[in-house]
Amino acid sequence: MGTYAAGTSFTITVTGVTMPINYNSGTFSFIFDADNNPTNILAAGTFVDTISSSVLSIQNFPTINIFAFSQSSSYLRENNVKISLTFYLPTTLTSIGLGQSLFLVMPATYYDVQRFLSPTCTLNILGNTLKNYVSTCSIQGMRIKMPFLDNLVLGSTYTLTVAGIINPTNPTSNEYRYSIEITDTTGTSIIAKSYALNCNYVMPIFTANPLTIILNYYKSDNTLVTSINTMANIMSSSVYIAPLPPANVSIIN
Amino acid sequence: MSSLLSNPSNINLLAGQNPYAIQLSALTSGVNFLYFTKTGDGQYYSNLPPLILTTSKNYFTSVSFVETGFKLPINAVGSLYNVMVTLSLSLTPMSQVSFTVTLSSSVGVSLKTNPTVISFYPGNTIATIALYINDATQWIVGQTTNLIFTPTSNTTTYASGSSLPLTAVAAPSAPIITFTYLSATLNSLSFNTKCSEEGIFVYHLSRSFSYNSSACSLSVSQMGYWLTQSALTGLRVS
Repeated sequence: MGTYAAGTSFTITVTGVTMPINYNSGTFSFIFDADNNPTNILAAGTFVDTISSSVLSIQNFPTINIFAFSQSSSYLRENNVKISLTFYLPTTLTSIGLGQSLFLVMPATYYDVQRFLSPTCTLNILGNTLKNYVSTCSIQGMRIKMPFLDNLVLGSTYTLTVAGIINPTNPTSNEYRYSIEITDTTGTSIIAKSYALNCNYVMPIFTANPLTIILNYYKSDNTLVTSINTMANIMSSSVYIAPLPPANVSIIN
Repeated sequence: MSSLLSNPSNINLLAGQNPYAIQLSALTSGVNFLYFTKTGDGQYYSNLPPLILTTSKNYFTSVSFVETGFKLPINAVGSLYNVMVTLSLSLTPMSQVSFTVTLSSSVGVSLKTNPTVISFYPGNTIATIALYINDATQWIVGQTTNLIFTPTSNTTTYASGSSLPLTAVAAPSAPIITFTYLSATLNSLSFNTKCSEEGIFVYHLSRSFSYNSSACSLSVSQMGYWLTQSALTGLRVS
């Protein structure tokens, strides 16, 4: 902070910035102004990230394109939902196979139900369901891990099917998409992944099933409950399982 | 979550059933996500969303009771008294918690069972403590001592135990109870009652069908049946 005379050089240092998971290209922009009115500015400009080349070499993974997607239900809270992603493995990738793992990264909207999934997963070459290339699938945070059972054939199109999904609890933006990642044998380094911008599918818009009556948790005064706070071994306040809309439900404590 | 506790212990809500209260807690502190599953109704009801249960360690709240103290009349040696302590509603434990009860000083009153151990758990938040006078020359008006409640083992349920004072008061005379009826309507009853001695007021309300003696023996379902009948054959409901 301070006042600088015209023509004076100064340095602005921004710290604490988290590096993005991937890097494409772009420039930084800046604006000089003397007030908080955004309709008029004094000066503006752009500059290029000088370390872009090193970032590019570290973060720009080979791309896997997802070109087909389906989800068996777009109703909120549905369980036993099946999703299917079809993607192509280009021959430019290094070999992929036994010991490595395929990860399905779930959109953030699954944050509260992901831990309750009991998924079953299959990976087939498109059109051939006789051979499954993945073994057990397990939940790891917002990802589903699927170790490969065999070497994959590069230059082929694969279909990943994951069943046992629980759809999101509440409507959210459908901007976030599923993505897939392939890791090395350590399971910690990504060697190829899909990018939403390069994937030709749209996420479903999750809506409530019009035929079902929505259940939620309520207090005795009909206020909605999403979390309960209490102390260890001390009984919490009472919650009730009741249908929407709460105004039509009379709960007697 | 292995340490999850619920009341009732088996939560099984049937479709069409009135919702009942569910209380949750855990033996250990932490944040947990709970997921109730639904079966058997097709798609009539939606699935339930995950529920977040946050359980904190209780570092600061001691056990406390609704009662703030007891007054024990002076009396002859061997006179028995029972005092009831009621756990504060907001401190009901989800699993059994026991306390050893002792007296802070020997002033003519003693515990019938020394030490006395009382326990609280869901459905049992009241405990009885039996006392007797062992020295009438010491238990005189104005004498005081304390009931000390100490957790029987290391517990994180409460920060610590508690105490309640016992005070010796004059022996009561025979209680005189007065009752004054004021008014009664279809859905209200008003009366005054008074007792000459300090005590607990216990009341019981009942309704009788004086115009039909057999109606009193009807079950709830039978009464519901008659309520739906257009011809009020013998049961008049007003």
